[in-house]
Amino acid sequence: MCTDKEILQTIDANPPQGQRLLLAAYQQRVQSVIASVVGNIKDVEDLTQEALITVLSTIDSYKPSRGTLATWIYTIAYRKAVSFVRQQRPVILSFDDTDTAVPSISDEQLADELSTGREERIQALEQALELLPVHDRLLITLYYYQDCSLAEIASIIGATANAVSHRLRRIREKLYTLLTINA
Amino acid sequence: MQEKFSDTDIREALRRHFAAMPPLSDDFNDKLFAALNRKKRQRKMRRLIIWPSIAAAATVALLLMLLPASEPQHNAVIAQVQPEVANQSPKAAQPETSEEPAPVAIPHKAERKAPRHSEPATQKVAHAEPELAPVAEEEPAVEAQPFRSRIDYVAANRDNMRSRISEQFETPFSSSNNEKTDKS
Repeated sequence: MCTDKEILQTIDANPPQGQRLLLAAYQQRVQSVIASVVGNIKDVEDLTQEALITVLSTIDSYKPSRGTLATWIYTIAYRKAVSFVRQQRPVILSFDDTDTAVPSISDEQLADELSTGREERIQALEQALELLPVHDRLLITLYYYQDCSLAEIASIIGATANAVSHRLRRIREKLYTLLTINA
Repeated sequence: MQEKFSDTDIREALRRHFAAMPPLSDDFNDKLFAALNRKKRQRKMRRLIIWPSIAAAATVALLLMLLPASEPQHNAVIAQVQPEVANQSPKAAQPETSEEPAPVAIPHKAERKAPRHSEPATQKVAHAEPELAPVAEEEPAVEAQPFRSRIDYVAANRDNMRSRISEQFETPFSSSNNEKTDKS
């Protein structure tokens, strides 16, 4: 797997080859980001294509000083997905719909509950992840699956790192609640 | 505040979730590059089309700016002149346009004696027909009047002057000419 720097250098030297390297490195990641927001597989493929076309056609405008290449690409993918979902189902994107009655749990208790790696728990988590609102699923995906930092996620979704941290904590609490209800 | 929420279970669940996701179609890359090339071509076409149209639009705009620029100036001159013409009394205007004999009634000698005014046109007319000067000599009061009031005076006493001129030359104005002036 090439690093971002190598990809950018290859794009400068040999654009077609650099584009293929970029696709090899980011195709699946972009797909997962879009899939965390958009449910339909066909839509995911179309949006992935749109996002990657935008990435490849505007790669000249990327400035490394503003953030990593991954952050820039995820931002494009996120905006494509969110704009698509807004056109489809505008209500789902509300950030206020998740402030339901969630019991206050300490981080240690959450960690104990969530990190006891059992097969049933993982399956239950998979189901619980499906029940999360779109933005929550996206944050979880970016943080746990794409290994983005809080600052990077904040840059992608246009929020502060503190807000992202707070939001991730809420999501974990919600997952815990869902697991408890299912159990 | 950079608190880590590391959780292997969540990571594993997510990994399984996305692993179960169907992969992109085989011709995804081909479609992608085809769409990318199409987009590049469209962008080139847009660039090619935009510049001539901008040049044409600029030319048209320039023409539109230049053409009406002359008309308003002309209209402005007319607008300046019209009030001046309207301010002039119709009686004063008539001798210059319809009746030529009236202005010649301004006395030639009186004009010489009186201080010079800034309107040489009337002086030229007075010089051109000096034979009518004796008519004006009979009314010295006109000398002291300014030029505009003299015109008014002439216009007011036009009939008297006309009769005097006709007596002097024994050539009455034709009836048709009088009718025309009455109508106007």
